[in-house]
Amino acid sequence: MTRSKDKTRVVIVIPAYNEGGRIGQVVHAVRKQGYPQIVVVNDGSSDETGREAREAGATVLDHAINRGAGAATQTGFSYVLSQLDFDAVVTMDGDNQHEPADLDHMIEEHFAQAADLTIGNRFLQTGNDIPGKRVVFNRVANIVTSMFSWKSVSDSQSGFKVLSREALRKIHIELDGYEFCSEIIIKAHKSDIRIIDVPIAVYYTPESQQKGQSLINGIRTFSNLLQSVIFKSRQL
Amino acid sequence: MKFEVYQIIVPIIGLLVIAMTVRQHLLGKNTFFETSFWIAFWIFVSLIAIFPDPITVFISKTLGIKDNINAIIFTGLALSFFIHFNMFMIIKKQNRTITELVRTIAIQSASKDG
Repeated sequence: MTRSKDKTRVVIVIPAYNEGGRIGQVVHAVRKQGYPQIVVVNDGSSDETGREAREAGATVLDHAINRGAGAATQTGFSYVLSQLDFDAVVTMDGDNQHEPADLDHMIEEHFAQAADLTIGNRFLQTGNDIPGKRVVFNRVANIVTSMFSWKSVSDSQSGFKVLSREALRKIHIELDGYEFCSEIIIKAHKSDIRIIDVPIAVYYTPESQQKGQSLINGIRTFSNLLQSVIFKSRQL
Repeated sequence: MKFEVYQIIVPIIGLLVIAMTVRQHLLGKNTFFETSFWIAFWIFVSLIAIFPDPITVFISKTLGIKDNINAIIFTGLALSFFIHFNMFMIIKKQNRTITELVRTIAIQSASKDG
C-alpha cells in the first residue's frame, strides 16, 4: 500500500453543527497548514455553517436534518471512500477546539509508526487546560470504552484522529451521536489494526463546552454501546 | 351463564381491532407477523374477558404462580415488555434508515455540485 506524507493526499473531515462564526476560521487555519482537501459535513445546522465552510474553500456535504456527530463523520468517510483518492483521513472538531498546527505532527507520527488509527490524546500533552468536569466525564468514558474493547484507552473521546485507508474500510460508524468516538476505538481494537496515541493541544471555549461529553452523553454512550453489544454483537 | 358488561364490551373492541388489523394487512401496511401477533393478542384478551376464571387459573397453574391475579399481572408485564422491545427495535431501524437516507442525499448532492 502507498503511504505518503503528501498533504494533498490527506483529507480533513470536519463534522459541524451550528458552528457559524467558527467553522470558517477552522477551514482557513487548516488550509494555511497546507491541506487543500477539506470536507465539512454540515449536520442540519440552522445557522450559516454551510455557507461559511464553502466560502472558506471546503467541500460541504449537507445533512438535510441533524443526525449527530457520529452520523456526520460517517457521511464524510463514505464520501471520501467513494469519491476521493487519499492516503489518510483526519477528523477534527469544527469549533476551534483543536490546533491545526498539530496536523503535521500527527500525520508524521501516523506514517512513521505505520499506524492505522492515530488518536490525538489531550491528556498526554502538558499545559492543556481541561475543565475538571470534562476530565471526570472522559475518565468514565475511558473506563467504559476500555471495558468494551478489552484494551486500556486513555483518551476515548478525542475528535482529533488520523485514519488510514484500511481503517476507514474496516470501521463503519453505526452510532449516530457522540458515542461514535468510543465505537471507532472499540472497532479498531477488534479489527486488530495498529493504534497509536499522539499528544495534542486542546482549547476549551464556552461554545465548545456546551457540546461533547456530558453526564447525559456518558450515560447515552454506555447504553448505546451496551445495546450494540447485545443486539448487534457481530458489528461491535 | 351471566355476563358482566365488560365481558361484552371487551370482545366487541377486540373484534373491531382485529378487523382493522386485517384491513391494514390487506392494504400492505402491516407485516404478516404483526397482523398475526395482534390477532392472537386480541383473541387472548377477549377470551380472558369471556372466561376470566378458567383462563387465569390455567395461566397461574401453568406458570406455577399461586394467585391467578398475580399470574395475569405477570403475563401482562411480559407482554408489555415484548411490545416495548418490538417498538424499540422498530425505532432503531427507522433511525438507521433516516441516517442512511440523509447520508445518501448529502453525498449525491455534493457529487452533482462537484
